[in-house]
Amino acid sequence: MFRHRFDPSSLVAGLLFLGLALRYLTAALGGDPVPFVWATPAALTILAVTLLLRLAFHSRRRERRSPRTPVR
Amino acid sequence: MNEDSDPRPGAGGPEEGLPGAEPRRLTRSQEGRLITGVCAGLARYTRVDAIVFRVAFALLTITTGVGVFLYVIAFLLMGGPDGGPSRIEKVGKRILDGDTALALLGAALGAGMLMSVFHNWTSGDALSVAVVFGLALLVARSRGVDLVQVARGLPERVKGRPLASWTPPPPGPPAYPLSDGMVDLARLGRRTDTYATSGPYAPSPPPPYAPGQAPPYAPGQAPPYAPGQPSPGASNTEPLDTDPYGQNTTDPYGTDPYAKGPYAPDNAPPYVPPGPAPEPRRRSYLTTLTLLLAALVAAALYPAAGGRPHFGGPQIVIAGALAVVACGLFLGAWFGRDRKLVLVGAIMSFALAATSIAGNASVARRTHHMTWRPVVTSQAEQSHKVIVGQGLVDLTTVPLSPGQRLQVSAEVMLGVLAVRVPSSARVEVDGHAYLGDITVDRQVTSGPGARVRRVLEPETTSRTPGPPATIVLHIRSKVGDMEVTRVPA
Repeated sequence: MFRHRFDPSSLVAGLLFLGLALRYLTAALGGDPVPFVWATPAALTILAVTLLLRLAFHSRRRERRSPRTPVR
Repeated sequence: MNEDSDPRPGAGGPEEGLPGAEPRRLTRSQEGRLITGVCAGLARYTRVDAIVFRVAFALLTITTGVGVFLYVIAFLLMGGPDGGPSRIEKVGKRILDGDTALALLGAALGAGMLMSVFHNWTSGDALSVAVVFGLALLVARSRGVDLVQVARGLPERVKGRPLASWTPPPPGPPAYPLSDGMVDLARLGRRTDTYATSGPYAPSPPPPYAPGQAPPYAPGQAPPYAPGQPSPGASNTEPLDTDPYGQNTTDPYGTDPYAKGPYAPDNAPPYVPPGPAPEPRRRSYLTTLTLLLAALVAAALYPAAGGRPHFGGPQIVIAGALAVVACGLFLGAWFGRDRKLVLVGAIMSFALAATSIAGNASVARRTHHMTWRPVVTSQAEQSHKVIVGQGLVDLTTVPLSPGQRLQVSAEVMLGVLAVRVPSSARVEVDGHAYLGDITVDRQVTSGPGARVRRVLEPETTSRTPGPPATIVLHIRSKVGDMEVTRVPA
């Protein structure tokens, strides 16, 4: 069933994006603008966390995939 | 002066230590890298786990920001993963050996510590930098580095050698075994005969002796031992610590923890011929389906988004699509490949943040606030343009004669534009907004792509007899709201 290897970075990125989207949706539908004071830092933080996790897990995956050359 | 590195001459390759051989260099590593390979390269050179360097850089970055400064210096100092010269070496046309580069990095850490201490010596942040610096010195000293000698010899070693005299390493596998991850520091620390009795510090190669005999050496001399047998000083170590490389039976330079690991010659993995090419991965439709669903959701939310102030409309549309992308990422964590979705989500997040900034009037005023109050028609007919921020064009101060036709254009790239027109004039409004609302005399037209062509007949009669004056108003907006209001003359 699970053809692909589980990638926690996608899960975390999805959670962060969903939180941001719900915050904006509730604020805009309620008629209150989202304060820019926290909106921009939040977006930047989300992107930084996502990027770091992506780099970390992709690097590990690449390391596992690379064939090891016997050293003689 | 091998700071933090293994002092064995052979650590940099089998030819190192021989006359004319290339000294070992500090290079970034492609294997196990996270960002640029700086920490992986330091780990490979010093044979300390890369996580130690990563934690240290992170700690220094969080506390004082020195970590970023150090990382940039390390990146500039360290050679490329292919062994090529570093950025600094290219500029200076001199080549530095690895020990010098590492010493320079240590000096930079020391300078960062001094700056932090002078800035605020009582803070915990400065203390953390001092702790990291002290630990680095302790590790170097425990590995036999003469720190005083390093400091004295650094000015001379920094001069390096001409880049032209350096021969690039031949392509191929590395000549020495890579650590590739965790290194048992405790095992390294148990080496008892490395520095004092052997290697370049030993007075002469020790003669062999027969097992069972009393060792014929005086205190202070190098302990002799038989080939292939543990030396007396290393009698309490594990058997694998008796042969540096698993192939040198004379054991001139002490012990090595890699002698009997997976890289030892006797234990090297057998060569496995490459098998058939792997099957190409099946195409993942997750990204395509998610983007299609996001577009559908955005279209469904579009009617509910109309007429909301402060970019509420675009925010609803973008946030709805972003929620779908987030769900796609959830699925992608288990079932599919979702690289593009992260990029799409990042762009949407930036767009949402941009609408928050653009829709905030106080921000717009702080960044760019323009007010035009023309008093003659020539001033009114010039271009009124706002790049970022809020613009106000007040046409009530322009003297209009009966039957006069006045052409006015105003544009805002990102922000808010307000135009005030006299109620005694006939106004022909031509407005277009790519992303934003257009409000003309309390009637709102929402974007994206909002277009308004409307004629406002005069509400009051002019004081002078004759036909009313006409104002032809062209207003344009890229991202931002526009509003046209009538003011009694």
